[in-house]
Amino acid sequence: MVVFTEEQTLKSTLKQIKTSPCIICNRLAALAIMTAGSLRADGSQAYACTVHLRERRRWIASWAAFDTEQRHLQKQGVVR
Amino acid sequence: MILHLEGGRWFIDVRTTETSEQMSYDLTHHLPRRLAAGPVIIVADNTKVFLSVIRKRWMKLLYEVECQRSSTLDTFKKEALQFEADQMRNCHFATKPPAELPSADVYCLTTTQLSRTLPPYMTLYITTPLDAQQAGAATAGLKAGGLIVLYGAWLPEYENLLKQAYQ
Repeated sequence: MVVFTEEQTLKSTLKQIKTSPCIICNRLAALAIMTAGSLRADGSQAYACTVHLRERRRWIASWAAFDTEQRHLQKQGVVR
Repeated sequence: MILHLEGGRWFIDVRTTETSEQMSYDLTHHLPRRLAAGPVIIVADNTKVFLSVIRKRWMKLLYEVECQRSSTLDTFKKEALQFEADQMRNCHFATKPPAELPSADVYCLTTTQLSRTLPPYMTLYITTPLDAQQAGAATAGLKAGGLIVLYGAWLPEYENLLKQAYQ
């Protein structure tokens, strides 16, 4: 019988259940296939699918647009 | 792969890259995303060589951002890419620890330099295997909500990081 440590159980559970929207393709995906990027205007973490790191043009343009949007939101006082 | 629990202290991003070229490509493309969050620490073996590779890729990336900016007529995209280019151009890299050079944005440090006290930072890239003590020293100044990007395999030495991250 395989006995998992508390951390291993925690790790595998997290990989399965936690999801977040990708700022590039807008799909809801598991964090197991995502990477953390910039912060949102409210200070929360934004994510993108790791696979987009290979699409250079899209990666650059999407994150630049996302960051600018968040800066505008902050300026307008919509958040924080 | 992200390991994070709602309300947890840090985000841990484990990335497997086959070559050092892939790693430097991945890090260079990811780094601009973390600049606005606060200071960045990169732990590497040979910091001078590592940083020269990163800087070379950085200049290439900056050129690409500028090309994209000049090829668009969309005002919003232009503004976004201009900000991106300015941020990349103004980014200061250092191989000296913050105590010696406090004004840099990105510090590329060896494991020996980690033993000194580090000011608070938001992002930590681990590009070389660390033992438990070094991992502890590397994360000592990582703020709540910070991100650890770990290149390579998850080692038993990092188990303590996981415990700390979910505190």
